[in-house]
Amino acid sequence: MALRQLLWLRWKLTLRGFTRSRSTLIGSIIGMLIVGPYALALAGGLGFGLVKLDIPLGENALRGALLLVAGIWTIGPILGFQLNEAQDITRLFVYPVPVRKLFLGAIAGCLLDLTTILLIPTLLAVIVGAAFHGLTGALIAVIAMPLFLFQTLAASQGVTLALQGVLQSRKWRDVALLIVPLFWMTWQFGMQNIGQSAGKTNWTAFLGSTTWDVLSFLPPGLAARAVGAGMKGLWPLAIAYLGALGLITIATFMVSSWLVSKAYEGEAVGVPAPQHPSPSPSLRSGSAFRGTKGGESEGRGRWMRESGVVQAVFQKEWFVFTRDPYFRLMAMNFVYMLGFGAFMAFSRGKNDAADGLGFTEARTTMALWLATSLTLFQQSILSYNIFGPEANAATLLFAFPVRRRELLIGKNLANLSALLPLNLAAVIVLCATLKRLDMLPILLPWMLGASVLMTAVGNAVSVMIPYRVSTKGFKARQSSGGVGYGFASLGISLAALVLYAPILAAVLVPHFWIGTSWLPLTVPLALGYAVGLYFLSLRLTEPWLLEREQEIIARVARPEG
Amino acid sequence: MQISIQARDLVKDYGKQRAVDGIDLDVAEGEFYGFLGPNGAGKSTTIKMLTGMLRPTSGQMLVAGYDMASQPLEVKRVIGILPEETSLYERLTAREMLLFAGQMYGLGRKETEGRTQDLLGVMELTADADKLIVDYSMGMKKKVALAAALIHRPRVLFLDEPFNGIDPISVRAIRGVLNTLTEHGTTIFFTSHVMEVVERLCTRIAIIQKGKLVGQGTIAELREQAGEDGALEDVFLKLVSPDAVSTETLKWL
Repeated sequence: MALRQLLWLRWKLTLRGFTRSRSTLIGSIIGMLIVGPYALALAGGLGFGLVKLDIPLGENALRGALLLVAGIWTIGPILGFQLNEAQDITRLFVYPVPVRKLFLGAIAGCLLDLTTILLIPTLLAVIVGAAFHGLTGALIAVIAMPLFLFQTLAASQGVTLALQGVLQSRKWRDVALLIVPLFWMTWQFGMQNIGQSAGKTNWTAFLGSTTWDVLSFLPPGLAARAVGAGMKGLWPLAIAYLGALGLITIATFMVSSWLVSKAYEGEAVGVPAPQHPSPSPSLRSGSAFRGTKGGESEGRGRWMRESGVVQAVFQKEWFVFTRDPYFRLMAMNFVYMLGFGAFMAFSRGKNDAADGLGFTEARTTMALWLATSLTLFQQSILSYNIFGPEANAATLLFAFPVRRRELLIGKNLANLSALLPLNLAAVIVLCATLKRLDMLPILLPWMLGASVLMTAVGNAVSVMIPYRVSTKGFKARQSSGGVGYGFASLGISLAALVLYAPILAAVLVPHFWIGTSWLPLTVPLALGYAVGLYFLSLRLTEPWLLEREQEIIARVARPEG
Repeated sequence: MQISIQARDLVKDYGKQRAVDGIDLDVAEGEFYGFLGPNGAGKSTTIKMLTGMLRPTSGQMLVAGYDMASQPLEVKRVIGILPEETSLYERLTAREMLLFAGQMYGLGRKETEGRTQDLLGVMELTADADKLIVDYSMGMKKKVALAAALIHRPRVLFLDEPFNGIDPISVRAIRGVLNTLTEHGTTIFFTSHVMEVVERLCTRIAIIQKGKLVGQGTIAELREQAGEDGALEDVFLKLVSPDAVSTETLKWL
């Protein structure tokens, strides 16, 4: 009875997720359209392999595929993915339902998740592929695949629950934000290298190695071995492997249930101790209010007060930059983009060198423009939404009686001081490494001018199209306003690209057509243009900001509850 | 009597739903004004409008003599706000947060530091002053938010459920601070569900129900309006829910 209720709850929550949030529905459809073909390709490839390949080779392919799936599902939650968005069962602890039943309900509820649904074609393909080798294979596969799925889901939930205290702690989330992008960078570069060296690998030796053998005795390997034995008609062996898989599945379920019960008793691993207020110092009621009245400062001039506000905003922004996970993620993405650009540049250069061409000018030029464009794009995410990261604190920020121009200048200076040195240093390092110092007089003014202009455009865009940002796992989420709002934002951002043309022309025209001796004239003009536009944007944006503060708060603040 | 907060025909619609339905308010300077109502009655919406955080659909508001629509910065200069949901920079420490707030209100560095120290002491946050706010409990966050709202010594203070999640010792300390403020002429506009606190602190009270004011005045005047001589809780219940559901219907309990 309770299990049915749990499934009903999961179904309702899933359904409401779609009906109440159009972006969730559209996101799921897009996810299905993007990931679906891969899932179907995996299913098709695996089924085809099981039918057409030799049985041992097919079994090895199955081992590899299941191992990959199980690995992703087990490690995913640690890296911040929510592969199975099973309901938070800790909320259900108030009801008199046995903990194991709650856990079973959570696992069953995973069957409604998109990621599980996408896995089902692969499992079905295994059953169909095995059926081509006879009834034994089909029967064993029919038992092995659900067991494998159940074990994987239970293990995934177990890992999540075992580490829930750690995973939910602020410190872990902060650390994970740094680790996860590094993990993906390593993964991406690793996959590129594996891809390049795949042809040279002795796969026969690998499949016969102890490592592969040991890996194959993990639950996915046991499932694959059972199916393989079934396809060969080796009943007893297949049943033995199924038995081993069954035992491991039961053990996984028991251990995970135990962890759930620990969470039930408030003993989950790594749950941070509750905060207690510290002993009080003596109360000095009212003492805060001696001195000046009505927020008047000690007779300082307006300029001093304004520069004090700019300084306070600047300082606050820097505190937040260095501590907020969102900005850490941005910084990691910046490094990632830079690394990606450099990797592209070097791999192209290496290929050219291998072809006897050396680091050709055209290719390195392309690589440098690509790297700088990527970093500028990354910068635009911050510059075009300066109020988004404020979230609920926007209410506080706009409660201060300061000129909005000061808020903008403080935020702009903080952004520029954080990003511009990085961008310029990146350009210098890349040019030096690719032996293209001749590009510096073009790229440095371009980055400088584009950054200032981006800040100018960003002020207006931030006021007119603010959106909420948040971090979930390793992802920076951007939301509010729906699809139409997103398209409007993209459209305005693209239209604003026209404003960059004069700066680009100021560096490209001398380089390609009229001669670089013109750069000392065109570059200052371009920078003057950027600075001029910046002051114009301040002038225009200040009243807009004052007018639209309530809308900005509504857009960027997290929904209540 | 100088009027500190004035609202005329204040309306706020959310789509087709009217959250605040043409209310008029007059709060005198130095008053401790309680604004009561059941959940969803429109209390927070009204406070958000009076503090410039939410644009009204229609109506006029004057705070400390300034028009909210045309002089929002002047209004913000003289008010302090403690919203129901704390809106702090959680990656700052309490000390950094208060220093930031003081500077944003135009206080000098030294003065801000002095007031920060005092406020941290009053709010019993001195020992935790250099921890990130994100690691604070709900009550501690509320105290930081209140301290940030007080640092510039506002002339009008808006408090939305200020005692939610705060321990009794701190409640007493904060009550003392609020009393000191009113003695110095600060107007306090205050919402709470704790009738005992409202009864003890407020000089005048307004009761809102489904976006409309159903009672306004001193406790004695409210008793008269409600025809109820009991405690404020009884008066409140009589005004907002004369046909309150009785537990007698739950005989199976």
